[in-house]
Amino acid sequence: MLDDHDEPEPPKSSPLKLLLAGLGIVAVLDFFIKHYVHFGIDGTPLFNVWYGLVATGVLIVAARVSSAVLQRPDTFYDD
Amino acid sequence: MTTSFLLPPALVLIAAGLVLPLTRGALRSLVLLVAPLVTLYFVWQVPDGMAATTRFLGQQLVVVEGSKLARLFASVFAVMAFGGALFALNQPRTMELAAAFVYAGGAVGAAFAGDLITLFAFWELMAIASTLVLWSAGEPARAAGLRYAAIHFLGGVLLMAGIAGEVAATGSALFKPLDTSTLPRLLILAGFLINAAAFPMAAWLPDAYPKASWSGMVFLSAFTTKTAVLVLMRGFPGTEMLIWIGLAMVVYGIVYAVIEDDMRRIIAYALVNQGGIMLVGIGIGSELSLNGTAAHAVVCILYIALLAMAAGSVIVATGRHRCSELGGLAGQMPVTALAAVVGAASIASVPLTVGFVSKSMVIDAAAKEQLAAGWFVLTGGAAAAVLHAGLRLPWLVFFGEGRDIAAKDPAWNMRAAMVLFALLCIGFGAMPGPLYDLLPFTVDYVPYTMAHVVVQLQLLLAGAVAFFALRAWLPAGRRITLDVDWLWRGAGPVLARGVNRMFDGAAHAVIALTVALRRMSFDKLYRHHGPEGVFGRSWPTGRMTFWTTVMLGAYLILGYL
Repeated sequence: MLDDHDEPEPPKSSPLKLLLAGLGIVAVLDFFIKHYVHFGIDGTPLFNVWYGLVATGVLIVAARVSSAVLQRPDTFYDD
Repeated sequence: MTTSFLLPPALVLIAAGLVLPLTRGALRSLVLLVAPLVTLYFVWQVPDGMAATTRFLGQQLVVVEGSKLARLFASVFAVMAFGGALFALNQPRTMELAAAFVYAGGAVGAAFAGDLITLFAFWELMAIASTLVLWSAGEPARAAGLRYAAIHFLGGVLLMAGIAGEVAATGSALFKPLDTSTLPRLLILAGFLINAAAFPMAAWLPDAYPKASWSGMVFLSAFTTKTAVLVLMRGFPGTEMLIWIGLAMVVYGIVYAVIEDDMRRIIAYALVNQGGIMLVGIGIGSELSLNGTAAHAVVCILYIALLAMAAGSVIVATGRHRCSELGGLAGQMPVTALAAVVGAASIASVPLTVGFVSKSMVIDAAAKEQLAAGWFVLTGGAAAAVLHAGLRLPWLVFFGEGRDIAAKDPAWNMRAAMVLFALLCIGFGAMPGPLYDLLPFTVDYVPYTMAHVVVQLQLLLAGAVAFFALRAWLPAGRRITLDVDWLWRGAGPVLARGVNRMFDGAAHAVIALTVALRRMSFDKLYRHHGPEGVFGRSWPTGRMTFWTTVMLGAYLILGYL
């Protein structure tokens, strides 16, 4: 279970602005490439951008929930 | 035995492994570096088809059977043995290196095995040798090594039972494509899946590999799971069950890696995640997906080994293995940091690295086969690769907040091994032609199109943005995450103690009952026939005479009557 030991990672220098700029550039390029649509929804504008954000976000949420349920002190197993 | 070539390639590495403990100094280094190259030479001398056959227990054994697939995997196993040996050249524990060479030889032997009995022999040789590699790390790896051995011997028992059933049913031990229509074949599949670290039997990998020495995990990360992928490709292509197991591994690997603090456990979960992609490819079973699986397995050996080398170098330099205790090492360890970046870029499938030209084949195959679940999970997983070794690991260790740790790049041989594997990752990534030429089917696939590059960059940058936006929300610190192995590490011992107590109680009850019965029956006998009993004790002579006279008198009376 989560307790006081579950401190979030300390804030550090982040390349977030740089990454957002890069994402903006490849998002613009999306309008200049040929799209291969296989399942319908993958033909929506900027699909890979929003799907990448959503998929990664969902997995982070899943990981956070898993940590709350499944994490223990590292002395849990006595070996 | 009949052979059509000089020497089974596996024997070179196995013999070198057996000789290694007898060597020292320059001779040891020579054996370590030359034996894998000699093995590589013999790998390419094996012709297609049955190349070495013999008979055993009435069965025809094909000890060496050449094919493009076998040569591809055996080649990368030999290259891996060379890279691992170069990295571990100054590892003082010769036993670890000897076991690692026998282990690598077992993998080469399994790659060329043309029948199930030969495969089993090399399979078990790998299990034993890899356990010795793990145990070479000493006390910290003792318990994990026992668990590792137990799981792999369980897999071996399932495999042997399946092989015995298959031979009994078909009369042949030859290794042909199988299906899941019979129990023996399901047992063979289960044996293969355990070694592939397939969910839910994946926990042995992140439990054991990170306990190995700084060089041990480099070897361990390469052979067992990839040999399992190879035999699954040969035995069970197109088995739908593998798609769902593989997708579970993709998600499981990411979710566990992202909350993990230990560098090498992150790599271990990333390895499971990558294995999931391969199982999906095998389950799809088309030529494109099998080519993609073979390519991805081969390049995965390179970049996972590269990441394991970088992590091992950090451990050698700092003595630390937790991301929360590391950070900002890029300035002090530039070569190691560069190796980690190339490994991370490869596992994240950044264009111009090997992951880009291999993983996309499996994802495209899922699209072409209209496998929606597979395509969406693999595509999401491609973006989320940044959450494990693809970005999070190198960021936390090399580029995150510095922690004033004194460190420097490792010895020349370790740097050389990392540079070699980094060059292979970039070389095959930028020019995939030679890799594609080695794949089992003719490749009709162009990875470098504008659309493919842009789409991949969109996914990765989106994933990276999500990671940096949300990472403060993730837990960190000295924690472990319970896995399926809790069943035998946590619940198992508790259950065993409970059962012990229950049996102890039952045993006490049985003992008490026995004592009571003894008292009821045997005590009565004892009372009459014991030393003080009426029939057992000694009597006075007068009383004996009296009773004898009585009995003789009674006899006379009865005689007259």
